[in-house]
Parts: sequence; structure tokens; C-alpha cells
Amino acid sequence: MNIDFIYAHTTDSGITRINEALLVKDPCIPLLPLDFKYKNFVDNTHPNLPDSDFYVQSFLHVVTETVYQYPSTFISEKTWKPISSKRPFVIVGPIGSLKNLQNLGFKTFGDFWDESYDTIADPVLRMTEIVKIIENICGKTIDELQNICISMADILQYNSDLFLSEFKEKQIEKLKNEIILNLNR
Amino acid sequence: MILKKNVIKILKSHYKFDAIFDLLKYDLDFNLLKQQLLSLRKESYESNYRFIFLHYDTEYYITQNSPGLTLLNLQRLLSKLDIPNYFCLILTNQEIGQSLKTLAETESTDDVPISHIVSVLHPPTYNMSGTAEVALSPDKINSKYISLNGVPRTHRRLLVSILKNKNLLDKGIVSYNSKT
Repeated sequence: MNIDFIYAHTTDSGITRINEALLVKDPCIPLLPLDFKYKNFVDNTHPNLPDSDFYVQSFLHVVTETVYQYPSTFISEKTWKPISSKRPFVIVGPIGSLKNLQNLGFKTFGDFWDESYDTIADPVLRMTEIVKIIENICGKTIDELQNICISMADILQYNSDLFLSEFKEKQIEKLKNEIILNLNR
Repeated sequence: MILKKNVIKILKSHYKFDAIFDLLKYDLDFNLLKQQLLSLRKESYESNYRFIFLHYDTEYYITQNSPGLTLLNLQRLLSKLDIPNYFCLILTNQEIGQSLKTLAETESTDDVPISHIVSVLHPPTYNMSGTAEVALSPDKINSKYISLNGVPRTHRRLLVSILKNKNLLDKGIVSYNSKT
């Protein structure tokens, strides 16, 4: 019994995510070499813990999700880290990532900066808008950022509470409901 | 990927199934899945029997508008083995409804697409949602931003390239293509 399976590593395109290739084809600036490595800090705590020094010591979390130019949103543990660490974030991910989080009940930071990047389909333009937010944050002093953190405390606390307490139970309920719908279809 | 016991228990309370198949394992060879499904294939199934598949890793898209290769291979396999879509269920963290509908029309004679349930209750999320609350501690902030990019991917390369070009790398905590 022969079945014509198609595998990414054997297709003529030779690329797993062809849409991401658009970024390389038409980059807005010269790209760093493929083998470029960079790290400007010393490890001192486990990076997967929400109270890791990395996360708490940083104001804005620039979450580079698993995928970027992709036909579906994709939430991984990368997005949960700032939420559980009570820090604001931007998501370098597929269009609609923030909207998806909002649909799950989380609040984002549209009162503090322009989140319209989440609606921009063009991958390079979307990235450009995200970098504008990072630039703006980098133009502020640490004191100013600490004050902004205090002013967004309600959102940060709300998101943390939701994720750590109700979220899992809500998702379990959702799963049960969808199973029942599936069985009754 | 192995689902948490709690989630498996919920599935078991509603469905009958022999195995849960993580599609990531068959990325390079769907014939492995074929062998496993062949051994479980039956002439008929109880109404609540399901072949359950996990789809929590990235898909491979040749074009933005066509279904991903993992789902394409799965639908082709089910059709060839004569396993009805009705008795299959995919748990995923991605919106794949349209892809499954397209595949049912193009790769199957079934009236219905493979069912799917979008659930973010895969182990990384499940584990993190059980951690202890941290204090807000605004006074601990001493870095303007953080961006950790351990696994090199095109969008991460572009982001770090722009940050470097704008001399912003040292304003934050940044890694690229380096273990953190």
C-alpha cells in the first residue's frame, strides 16, 4: 500500500516555512549572518521559572513566539512567561496573537502603546511597528519604566491571577464542553 | 509530547481509544504511523471510539493558503486506510478548521472533516499555570526590555538584526542563537 506523503525536507521549495522566507527576500535592513551568536548577560537562575531574575528585572518582554508569518495564531509557554512574571509584553508572532489572548480573557497594553501591529498582515511592517515600541521604551529611564509598571499594576495582577488560578480550570471546562459537542455532532 | 494525566482522564471519561498519537513523531516518516494505525484499524467502531492525535508543533506550509503538510499526510493516510474522519480527533493549539475542511474535500470521500479541539492544555502551559505567584516588584526593574531567542528562526534573526542596527541590543537583556 503506497501513500504519497509529502515531507518538508524533500519538497522542491526546500524550506519549511516559505512565508518566513519573505523576510529574507525583502528585509528592511541587512540581516546578521546565519551563524551570528549573541548573549549579553550571565545566567544565574533557571530561565523557565516565572520568578527568574531575567523576567522580573526586565520591563518589556519582547516575546519572539515559535512562529511569525503563519496562518494561525500560536501560543506557547513563551507568552505565558511575562504573564506569570507580571510584566508587560509585545508578541513577535502571527497576526492576531494579542486578539487571541484577549479572547482567552487576558488584557493587553493598548492604553500604554500602539498595539495595531497585531493587525498588520505584512511581516516586515508588523516587525517595524513592534520595534517602534521597543525604541520608545528604550528612550525612557529606568525610573520612568518602574512608574509605568506601577501604573499598569492592575492589568499585570489581573493577568497573573487569571493564568495562575482560573485559567487552567476554565480550559478544562472548555475541553469537556467541546468533547460533549464533538460526541453529539 | 505526553498529555498530563488529568487531561487524559477527561478524554477517557468520554471516549474509547487505544492510543494517543503525537503527530510530531511522524514528521519525517508517516509510514510509522501507518503501521500503528493498521494494527488498530477495525471493521466497525463504537460510536465514542476515537483515534486521537496531538498537533502542538509547528506545521509545514508550502503556501499560506494551503493546508499544512502534517495534516495533509494524516488525511491521506486515514483515507487510504479507510478510517473514517468521524472516528478521529485532533487536539491542537492552532486554528486548523479550514485546513481540515479543505482536506476532507480534496483528499477524502468523507462527508465530514476530521474533528479538532483547540486546547492550550499541553504540558508547558499546564505546568506553568501551576507555579507560585510572584510579587510585582517594580523596584527590581533594571533592564528596559528582554528578548531571549535561543533557537534561531527567521523572524528572530530579523528582530535582532534591527535591534543591532539601531544600537538597542545593550539596552536590554538579549540572546540570539545561544543557550540561555
